[in-house]
This record gives sequence, structure tokens and C-alpha cells, in this order.
Amino acid sequence: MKNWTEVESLDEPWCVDPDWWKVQTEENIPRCPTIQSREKFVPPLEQKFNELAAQWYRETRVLSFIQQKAVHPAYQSIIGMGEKALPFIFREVAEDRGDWLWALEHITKHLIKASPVAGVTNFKECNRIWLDWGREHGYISK
Amino acid sequence: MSVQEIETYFPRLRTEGYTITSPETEEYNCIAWAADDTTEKWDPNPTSGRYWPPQVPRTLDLESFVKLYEVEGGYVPCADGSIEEGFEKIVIFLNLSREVSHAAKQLPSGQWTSKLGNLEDIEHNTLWSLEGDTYGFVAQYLKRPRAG
Repeated sequence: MKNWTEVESLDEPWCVDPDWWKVQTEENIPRCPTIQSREKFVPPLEQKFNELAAQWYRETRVLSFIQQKAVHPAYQSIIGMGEKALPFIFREVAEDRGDWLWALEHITKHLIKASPVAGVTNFKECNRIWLDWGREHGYISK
Repeated sequence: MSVQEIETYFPRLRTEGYTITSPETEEYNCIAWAADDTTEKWDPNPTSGRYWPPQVPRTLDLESFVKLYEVEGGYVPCADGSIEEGFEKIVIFLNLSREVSHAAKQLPSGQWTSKLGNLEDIEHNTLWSLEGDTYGFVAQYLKRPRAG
């Protein structure tokens, strides 16, 4: 782990704001100099998402219908995270894990006038359309 | 999903016998699989990414699924899951909430083929091996004349 003497500049925000780590932005987390391996650091919000998603996968894997899967408390908690959950949901969709269409529709219904997948019955096609939407709206890092 | 995980959900599979016949996928579900469709999820929920014929009620009631297989495949109710020459059969499970939870299709050998949620397809020797807390119990058998 780096120590403070190895930091090139004391003008960086993590040097002046002791609470920098509480603010999750794309800018501050990758620049943290005290994290030896950036890949190993998981921000608290993402960690929470990961735990909920893992629980949901584990406990609903054999269910057949979205109505039965989506009422699971972990899935509902993820929906309750709102827009902040979108980057993590899109990560799962991009990796072909899980059925996130219910969550995407519920989280984005206050953000957009019409669902981009309205009337589309094919699951794979819906995921592709949502990923395009996520990239266009900045929820998926390039 | 590992064999160990499948057998955690359905412990009787180990003694009754089964084989895994596909990789995991989210692209179709057991209801579609029983009707030989591996391109869509058949689900009455109006959320996108699901297929449901417009003339069938959007509920998880048994009656809706009997109607579904009648509309989509010409299946009609029958008494049991025995092998009948010239016919193919589907079975529908109801969970403890009396909602449809699973469907499986009979193979010519008399074995059954099931897709387990978004996991693998399996061939299993008995329906008893899937009964229990997760899928509930066999509620309805359906049959139609075998094509060809």
C-alpha cells in the first residue's frame, strides 16, 4: 500500500477531504492512491448491490416466472436503490446474468417517457436494446 | 450451476436419476421448453422480454396454462403421465400457493425433460424427483397426438 509520502501532489481531493471515500464518483475512486490494487477495491454501494444480487441469484435460480423472482426482498432492495443501481444492473446484463428487465422498467419509469423495449417479447433482444440505452445515457462506461 | 447445487434444490434427483442436457441460459424458461421453444420465455407477466398469447389470461392459475398449451400446441387434459403410444405429454406443477411453478415434457422413453428456472435442462426419470417445497406438486397432465 502506498503511504502519504508517495503521493505526488497534495492538491488532490483525497488529501484535503477526509470523507472523500464516502462520495462515489467515477473520478475519485480510480484515483485513490492508497489502494494498492484498484481492482480489489469495491465501493460500498457496489458491494451492497453485489451482496443483494448474489442472494437473489442463489435463492431464485430455479424459479420460472419474473413475478415470482421479482418479489424477492433482495431484488426489491435493488430496485429501491434507484438510478444508482443502473451501472451495476447493466454490468450484469452485459455479462448475461439474471433477468433484470423488471428492475430496469421500474427504475427508469421516472426517467423516461416510454420504455425502449415496449412490445418486445424476446428476452435477448430486450437486453441488447437496454444495453444500447445504457451506453447512450452514460450508465455504462466505455 | 453445479450438480451439487441442483441436488440441493431437488435432493431426490440423486436417487431417482437424471442427466444434465444443456448449459445454463436465461433465454427461455420451462414453460417454453415443454413446448419445444428455446427462443422465448413464456410468462404471463406483462414485463417486456416475455411471450404470452393474447387470448390467454395473464395469470399463474392452472387454467391459464391449460389454455396456453391448448392454444399453442393443441394439448388437452389427460389422466396421468403414463406412456401412451402415439401421444406426447406435458405435466404442469403447482406450488404451495396454488400458482403454476413448473412444466416438464415427456420423452418417448417415458423419461421427462425439464428446464430448471434459468439453469440447465435435465432429463429425469420421475416427476417425484422435482416435487417438494420449490415446485410443489404435479397438478395436471396434458397430451396431444405425436407428430409424424
